[in-house]
Amino acid sequence: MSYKKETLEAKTSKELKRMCTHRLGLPGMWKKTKDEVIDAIMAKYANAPGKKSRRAAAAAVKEDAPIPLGSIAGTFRSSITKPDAPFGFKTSTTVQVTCGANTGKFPVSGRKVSEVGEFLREVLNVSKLSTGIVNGKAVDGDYIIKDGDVVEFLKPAGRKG
Amino acid sequence: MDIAIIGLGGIGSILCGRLGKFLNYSRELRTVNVALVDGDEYEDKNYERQEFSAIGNKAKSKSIDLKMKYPNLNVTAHEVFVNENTAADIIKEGSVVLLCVDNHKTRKIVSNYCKQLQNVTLISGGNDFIDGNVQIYVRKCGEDLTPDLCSYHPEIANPDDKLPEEMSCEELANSSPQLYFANLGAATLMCWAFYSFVVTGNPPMVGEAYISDAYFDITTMSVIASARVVK
Repeated sequence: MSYKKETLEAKTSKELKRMCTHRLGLPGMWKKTKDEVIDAIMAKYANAPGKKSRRAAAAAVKEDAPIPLGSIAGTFRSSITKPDAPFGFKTSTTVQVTCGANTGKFPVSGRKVSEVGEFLREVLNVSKLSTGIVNGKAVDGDYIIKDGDVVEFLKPAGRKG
Repeated sequence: MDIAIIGLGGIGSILCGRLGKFLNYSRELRTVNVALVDGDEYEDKNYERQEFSAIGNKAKSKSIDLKMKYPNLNVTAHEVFVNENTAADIIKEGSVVLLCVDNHKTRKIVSNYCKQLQNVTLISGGNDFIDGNVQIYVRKCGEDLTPDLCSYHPEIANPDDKLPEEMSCEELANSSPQLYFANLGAATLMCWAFYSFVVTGNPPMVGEAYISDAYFDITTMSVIASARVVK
């Protein structure tokens, strides 16, 4: 289903609001202005694909057929970090962070390395001058940690022997 | 194969006993040459943490111990400290160096010397009171497979300590306290790295990457290995 702005503008405000409630699954439009309603419809349906013939739809399904599950490789780690959050927002990806022999998984994706070092200073015993290493390479404090990164804060080598 | 054990204090004295036993009963490795290197002396106070049977030069004393216990081994004693002048006499092309010294300045000298060789394996251990680490630096055909000791460790690249021969008697006597179990932990990790190298000819691996550092902590009973990229 897709809509053009001109088509929507040709309709009355009442028609649009009724359409939203009964056909488009867009509740809460009765107190909005006509322009706001049109914007909401466009936001939801402007880029939606149009109707396809059965044959075209079948061909598209074949092309977009998912890779069999058995061939997927890789790891994904997540844990419930926001138990009070609304449904669908309860989990966030955690990142493995290590300093010396201390390690843990923390929800630090999207944070700067320097912030994380400060944040985990006491938990992992991170020294103030410790360099950040991401995926085996030394990085600046401004590096933004991404999902799947392995972060290490360098612990100085033991001196005695 | 030439093996050099440099530093025969807390870590080294434990390590050479364990390694000696392994080599002595190994069919393939019993013919290796083991060089024990230390210019320091065992004293009564060292009995608390260090394993030896006679007072005197550490290299000489331990070589006598090893020869008595493990007659198959070919052991030589070098009664010197390693520095820029002596490194070449001790570390040969293709050597496996087990570095158990108590200062970063010697670690830097040995690492830099190894960097000039085509093939060498350097396993360095160090500890503080309750934790420590092992670094594994391997060069093959003139290329680093793992980072040298200085690459990720500015405290080794720019050492603020002294070589043993530069230290006064007072400085030597005032060394910070150590725990036998920390020495034992470092020696054990070095043995693991050595075994892995002997079996595969390469550093130990995690996934597809070579392990260059491993840390241990006695209080949390944890060991963590990390693979770092050669710079």
